[in-house]
Amino acid sequence: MNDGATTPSLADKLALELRRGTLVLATLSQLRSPRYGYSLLRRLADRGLEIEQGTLYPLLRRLAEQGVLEARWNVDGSRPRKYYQLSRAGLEAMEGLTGEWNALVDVMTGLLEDPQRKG
Amino acid sequence: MDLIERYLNEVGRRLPKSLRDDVRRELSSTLEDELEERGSGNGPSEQDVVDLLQELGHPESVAASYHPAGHYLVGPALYPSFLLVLRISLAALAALLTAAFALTLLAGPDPTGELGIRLGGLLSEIWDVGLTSFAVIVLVFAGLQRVGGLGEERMRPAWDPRQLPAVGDADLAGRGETIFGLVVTALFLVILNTFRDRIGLPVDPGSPVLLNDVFLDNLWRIDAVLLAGMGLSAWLLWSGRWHTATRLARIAIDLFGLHVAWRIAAAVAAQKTTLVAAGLPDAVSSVVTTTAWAIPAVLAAFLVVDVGRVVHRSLQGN
Repeated sequence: MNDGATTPSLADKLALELRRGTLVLATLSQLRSPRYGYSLLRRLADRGLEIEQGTLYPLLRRLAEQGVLEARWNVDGSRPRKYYQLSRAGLEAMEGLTGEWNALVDVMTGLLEDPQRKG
Repeated sequence: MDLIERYLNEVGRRLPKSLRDDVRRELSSTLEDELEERGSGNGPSEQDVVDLLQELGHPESVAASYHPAGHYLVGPALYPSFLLVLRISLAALAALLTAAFALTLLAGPDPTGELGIRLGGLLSEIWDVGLTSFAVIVLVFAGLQRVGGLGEERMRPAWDPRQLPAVGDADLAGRGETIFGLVVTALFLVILNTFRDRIGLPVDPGSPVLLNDVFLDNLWRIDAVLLAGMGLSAWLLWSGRWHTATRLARIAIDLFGLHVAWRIAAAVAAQKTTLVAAGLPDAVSSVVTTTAWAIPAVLAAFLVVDVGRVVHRSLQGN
């Protein structure tokens, strides 16, 4: 979360809204095995999805509260870290969301290829 | 690392207790991971820490991100304070109205006459004043949520983590207690000027209520003290810290308040024989005058505490 003085353009704001809709599925897709927040942040970034810490951490907490993720502290490493992993309900939710996403991609592809849109 | 501790402290202050420790711990772990990745072999510099904290965002923004999204009349950040103020204010109002009712009964010629009807009247007054008080409290908090920007993330210019207050900073103006003071004072001001007949206080110079002149002569002074106090609270809410100037302003308000309370107590004491002649039992009139003197005594104690704080801070070189 950057509190700099520049104001995002309208295109940036709309793009942000679009990306926001994908964050939950993107996050769940990387949590079949346990990961802590920072490692998840880096993994998503390495795969092309930049997400701010101020967005990811509250999201992880919310998903854990909803029972989609299991969270536990691990104090064995060099520093205590909170690990997250898909719960059974989370796995089912992710599979459902994946189906929804694939259907949505088909719909959007059709809409964007619509001859009427191209005038 | 002091900067990080101060940052985590500021984030934690703005979170509910149930989240505080866990979020701080997780943020601390993340910051250490990030700094380790960015740092050179000699460890992170202060500038590395400043840059990272600025990227993460102001503590207020970070804390706000842990609250659920949505539009609120009174948002999650302010809601605990809102509930606390509401409960205490409504309880205090009910107690005040009941005490005024009891005094009116005792002062009257027939204390137990038509008691049922009069009790019904008391309940009706508690309901009316309570409803208005609830509306005032909601309005104040809704204003704080929107205009004051206390409940939501604010657009802010670039900020410097090095300006964050130290952990355990004695000059920090506690947000919860400042909001509480502001709302209770606003409530008291509204009741004193709009609903004072409901709590047995005079409405106009011709009113037959006891201590009529004492109250009306000093009403503008009481209003001035309360308004000055509200102004100081609003400033502290905005600035977040006490400074020498605000502490001196607090002392000036205390002094003026003490002066007003002393005037009222002296005038009440001077009217004791009048109270007895009007039919008030001697014991009750003694309680009234003792209570009137107790108020400046309490205000004097607050004044001593506030002066002590200024002297203490001066001796510490602040």
